[in-house]
Amino acid sequence: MYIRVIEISCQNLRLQFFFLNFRTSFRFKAMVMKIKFLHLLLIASLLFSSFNSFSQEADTSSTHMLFELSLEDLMDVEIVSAVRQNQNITDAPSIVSVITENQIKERGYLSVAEALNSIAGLDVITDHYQPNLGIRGVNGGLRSWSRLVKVMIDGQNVSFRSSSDNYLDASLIPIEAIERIEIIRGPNSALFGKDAFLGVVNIITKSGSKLENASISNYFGNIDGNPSFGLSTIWGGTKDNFDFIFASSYSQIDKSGLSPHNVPGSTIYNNQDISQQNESNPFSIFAKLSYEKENLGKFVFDMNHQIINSYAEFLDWGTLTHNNRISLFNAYQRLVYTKDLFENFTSNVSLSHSTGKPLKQEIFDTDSDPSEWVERDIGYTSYDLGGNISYFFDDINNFTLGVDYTTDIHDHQKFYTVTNAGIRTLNPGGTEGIRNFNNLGIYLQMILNAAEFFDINYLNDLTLTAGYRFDYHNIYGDVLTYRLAAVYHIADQLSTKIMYGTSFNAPSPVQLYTNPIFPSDIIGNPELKPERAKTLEWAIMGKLTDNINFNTNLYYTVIDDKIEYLLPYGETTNITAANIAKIYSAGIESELNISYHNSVSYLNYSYQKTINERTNPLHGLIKVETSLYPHHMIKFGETYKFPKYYIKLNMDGNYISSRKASEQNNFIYDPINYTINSYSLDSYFLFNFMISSMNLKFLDNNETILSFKVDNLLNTKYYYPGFKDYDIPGLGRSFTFRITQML
Amino acid sequence: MKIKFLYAQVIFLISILIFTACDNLKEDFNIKSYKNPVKIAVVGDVTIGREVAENIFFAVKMAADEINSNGGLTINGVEREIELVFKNSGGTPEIGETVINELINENIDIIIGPTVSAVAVDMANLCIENNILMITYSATVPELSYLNDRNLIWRTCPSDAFSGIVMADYAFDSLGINKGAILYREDKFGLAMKEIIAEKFNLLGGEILATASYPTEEVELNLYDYSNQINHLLKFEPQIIFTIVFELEIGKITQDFWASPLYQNYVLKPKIFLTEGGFPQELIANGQPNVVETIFGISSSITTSPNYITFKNNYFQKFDFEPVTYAEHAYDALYSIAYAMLKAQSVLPDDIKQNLRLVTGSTGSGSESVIINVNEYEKAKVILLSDVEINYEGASGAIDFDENGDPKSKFVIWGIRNGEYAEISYFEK
Repeated sequence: MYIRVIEISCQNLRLQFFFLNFRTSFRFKAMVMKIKFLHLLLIASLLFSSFNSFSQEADTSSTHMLFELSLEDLMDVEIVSAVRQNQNITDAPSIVSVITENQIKERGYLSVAEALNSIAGLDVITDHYQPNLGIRGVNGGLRSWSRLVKVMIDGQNVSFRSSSDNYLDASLIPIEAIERIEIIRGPNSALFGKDAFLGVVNIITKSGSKLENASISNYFGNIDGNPSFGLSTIWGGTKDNFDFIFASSYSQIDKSGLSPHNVPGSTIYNNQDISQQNESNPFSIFAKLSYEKENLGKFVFDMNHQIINSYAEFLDWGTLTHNNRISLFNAYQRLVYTKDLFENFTSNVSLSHSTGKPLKQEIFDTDSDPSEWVERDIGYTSYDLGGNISYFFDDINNFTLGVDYTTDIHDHQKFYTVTNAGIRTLNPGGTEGIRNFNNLGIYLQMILNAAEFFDINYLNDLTLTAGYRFDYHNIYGDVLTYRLAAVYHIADQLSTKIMYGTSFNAPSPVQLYTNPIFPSDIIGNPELKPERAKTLEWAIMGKLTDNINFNTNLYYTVIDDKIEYLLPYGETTNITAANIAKIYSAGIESELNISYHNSVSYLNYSYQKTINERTNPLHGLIKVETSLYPHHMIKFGETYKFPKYYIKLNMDGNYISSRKASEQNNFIYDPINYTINSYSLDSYFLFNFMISSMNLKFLDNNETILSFKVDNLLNTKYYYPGFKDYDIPGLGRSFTFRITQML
Repeated sequence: MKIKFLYAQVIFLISILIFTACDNLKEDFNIKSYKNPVKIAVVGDVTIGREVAENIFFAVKMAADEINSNGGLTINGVEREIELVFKNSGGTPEIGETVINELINENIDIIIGPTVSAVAVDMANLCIENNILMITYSATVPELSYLNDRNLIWRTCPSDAFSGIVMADYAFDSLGINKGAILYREDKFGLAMKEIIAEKFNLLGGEILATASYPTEEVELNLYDYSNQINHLLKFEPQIIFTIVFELEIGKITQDFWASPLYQNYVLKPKIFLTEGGFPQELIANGQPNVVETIFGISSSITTSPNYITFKNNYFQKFDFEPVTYAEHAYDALYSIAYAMLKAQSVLPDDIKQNLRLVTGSTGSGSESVIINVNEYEKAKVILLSDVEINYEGASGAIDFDENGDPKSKFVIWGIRNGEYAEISYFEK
C-alpha cells in the first residue's frame, strides 16, 4: 500500500518538475532541494503512519458527527472561545461563526485565510507575501498582517510577537489538523487581554481520538500560469491514556507574472513590470500529546512551528526588485494541566514558550542593486504562565477567575545595510527600547441566569455574562476592559443577544522602536499608546425552518487612538505610527445556512460603514470614510453531493464592492487633497468551483479523495489596495488537483 | 411576552444605532465658507518634496486663519476673508504651467509659491505674461531676481547669489579651507548654485577640485546610490564638499559617504557644507551619525529671533509639530500681501505690488513707520486703516524687499553637534 502511495506522489512531483519553468540554475538547484525535502517529508510521514500499533481507537461517532453535520448539528456546535469554556453556539455571549473540518474539506481550503474569507464581515486582502485580515470595516493597513484580531491555536497566541502580525497563510498550521475555526467578531479583551481587539480567531485542533484516519495529501496546480504544489500529512490516535496527533504541511506557490496597477493618472508601471520568482514556501508542523487519568487530571503538550518563507514583490519597499525575501520562524511549545479540583470546581494551568526570529535567507532588497542589501535583526522569546479556576453552581451559573503573566524578551527590529564586501552597517534612526515586555492580567467572568435574581417567569431564559479584566504592562501601563452580555432564548433554537464590550490593541515592539530600512522609511514611535475600542452589538440567531438557520447582527464600534502609519507632517521624511484617528464603524452581518437533500449552502452578507475622524492641518477636524474596506460583501457557496456517482460539487463566490484606496496611494492621486479626495478600487466578483470524489476506496478499503478546483473561474481582473504607488493585482484563474489518501 | 421582549430589544437597539451612530457615520470635510473671499493661491511642489511643501501650506494657512479670525481684510470698508487655494506644481515646469492655467480659469491672480527653482522661473514668466503677482518662499535661484517682471515677481527667501557667496566665504575665511568639491542636483537650482559657489570660492583663492551631479528625475532620491559621485569627489581629496541637495536625499548621501572605503581612509574627514533646506531633523533621523557631525549648513531661518520664536510657538500650538525651514518665509509672504492690500485698499496685483515695499521697511517706506511683529495683525490693521505706515518684521526677520523683489538676507551657519542642532555663526547682507 505504502509503495503505491509513494508512486502516486512521486509521479505528481515529476509532473511538477516537468511543468516548472526554471529561470536560473540557482533556482533549479533550489527546486531539486525542495523536492528532496518533500520526499523526506513524505517518507517521514509514512514512517509515522506505519506505527499502527499506536493508532486509531477512534471515537468515530464524534468524528462522523462533525464531518457530516446537519443544520441542527450546526446549531448545536459547542464552542470554547466566547467564555473559555464549552458552550453551545446559541448560548455564547458573542457573535460567533464556526468553520468546521468538513467545510474546510468540501470547499478545498488550503489555508486559514481562505477559510476566513468565507465569513461575513471579514475581508482578507493580500500583498502576495501574507494575507491581511480586516474586520468590520477596519484594516490594519500598511505593514500590518492581520494584527487587529487575536489568532490562537487552542487558546494559545500564535502571533509573531515582535510585530503582533498573524501569518494566516499555509504556514500557520497544517489545515488537516483543524477540527474547527471559531471566529468571534467583536471585542474580547476582557477575556483574552491585548490584541483581542476587533475579533478572535481560535483554531481548535483535532485530537487523536477524533481523527478518523491518518492521511497524506498532495496537490499540484497552476496558479495564474505558474506551477504550485504541496504536501501535507496527518497522523494520530490513542493508546491507553495517551492521545496523540501530528500534522505537517509544505507547499510551494509561485505568483510570478503579476503586474502592479497604476494609480489613476499615474504611468509609473507598464506591462514589462512584472513579478518574478515570486515564490512562497510555507511550512508548518503541529503536534499534540495528551495524557488523561481520572485521579491525575489531564496533561496536554502541544507545539506548533511555522516557517514563513516568501519572496515579496509587492511590499511597499523594493517593489519588483525580485530579491526581497521574508523568512521567519515562529513557534510555541506549551504544557497545559487541567483538573477538576472538587465537585463543580475545575482548574487549569498552562506554561508556554514561544519564539520567533528571521531565518538566514531573509533579505530586504530596496533597489535591485546587487552590491548592497538590507538585513534585519529581530526576534523574541516569550513565556506565558496562566491559569484559571471555574466554579459551576449548575449547568448555567458559574464564575471564572483567571490570572496570566507574560514576559516577552525582544530583540527589537534593527535593519543593517550590507555591502557585497561584507560590511554590515546599522541603519541610522529609530529608538532603543526596553527589551523585556511584561504583562500581568487578571480576569473575572460570571455567567448567571437572570431568574436567580428576579422571580419573573420569562427571565428563566435570560442568561447574563459579565467579564472584567485588568492588565498591567510595563511599557504602556494599566488597561481595564470589560464586557456585558445578555442572551435570551426566545424559542428552542432561537436566541437573541445584546452585548457591550471594550478591548485594546497594544502597540507592537516594531511600531515602538524600529529603525528604517532606508532613509525616509518607517521609524518607531516610543510614545504610542494602545488602541482602544468599545462595541455595542445585537444579534439574533436560530432556525427559520428545519432546513434553514440564520444569524444576523448589528454592531457599532468606536475606536480611540487608532494607530496608523501616516505620511508625516513634521520635520522628517519618515513615516511613523501614530495614535492619530478615531474610528466609528457600524454595520450588519447576516449568515444563512440552508440544507436540502444532498445540498448544503450558505449565503452571507455584510454591510459596513466606517468613518475615520482626525485632525488635518489644512482642513481641521474632518471625517472621511476609512480606506481599504468595502461597504458590501456577499459570500455564498453550495456543496452538492451525488452519492450515486461518488462525487460532490462545490461552488462558492465572493462579491466585494468597491473600496477606497490607501492614503499612501491617494497622495499620488491627489497630492493636495488626498485626505478628502480619493479614488476607489473597482468592485469584483470571484467564483470558484470544485469537484471532488466521495467514498472512493482503492487501497485496503481506505478512502482516496480526488479533487479538482478552479479558483477565479471567470478569470476576473481585480486589485487589492497597495501602499506605495500602485495597487496589487489579484490572481487570475488557477487550477489545483489534489489527491488525499487515507491510511 | 417573549416576542414583546424581543421587539422591545430590537427597537431599542436600532434606535440607539440610528441616533448615535448615524451622525458619527457621515463624512464631513469641514469645508468653510468665507466672507467676501479674497482668493490667493498657495503653490507647492508637493509631489517631489511633500514634507517641506505641506509645512509651508500649513504656515500660510496659519497666517490666513490669524488674519481671518481678526476680522479679515477691511478693504474700502468691506470686511473680506482670505480664502487659500492650494495647488501642486509637481516639481516640473509643465505642471507649473498647468497650475497657472487653472488659476487663470479660477480668476486668481495672486500666488504664493512655488517651492523649487526648477519650476519657479518658468512659472514666473507665465505670471508676468498674465499679470499675476507671485511671491515664492523658497525658490532661491538667482535668475528670478533679474527677470523683466514689472514688479510682479517677489520672494521672501534670500537668493542663492547671497547664500552661495556666504558659504564660499565661510569655508575659505572662517574654516581656512582652500580645496573644495561640489556635489549637486542636476536641476536649475543645483546648476546655478554650483556656479555661484565655484566662482566665489575660486575668487577667494580656493580651488574646486571636482564636481559631480546626480539625476533628479525618474529616480527615488532616498534610495539612489550616490557612491559613484561621492567616490569621484573623494579621489581628489577635498577638504570640504559643498553639497547642493534637498531633504529627501540627504540621509542616504550621508550613509553612502560612510559606506565609501575612500571616505573611511581619510584621517581627517572632509567637511560637508549643505545649502539651505530643512535638514537638521532629517539628518538627526536618517543621517549617518559620524558623517552628520562633519556637516555645516546654511539657513535663512534665524531660530533665535523673538519673531521666529513666536511664530514657532504658534505653529506648534496649532499643529502639534514644529515648522520646517521656509515655513516662516511662506508665512511672511501672506502677511506681506495682506498688509500691502490693506495699505493699497485693493486686492489687485498692480496695487499690491506698489505697496509691498512700503509695508516691509524697504526704500520708500517712511522712517516713522511703526514696526509690526508677528502676532500684531490687529494692531497693524488699525494703523494701516489710520493711514499710518508700518514696517512688517516677520517670522523670518526684517524683509526690506530690494529693487529685485528679494528680501534682506540674513544667514546662520549651523551644525549638528552631539546629535543636537547648533547655530554657529550669523551673517547679514
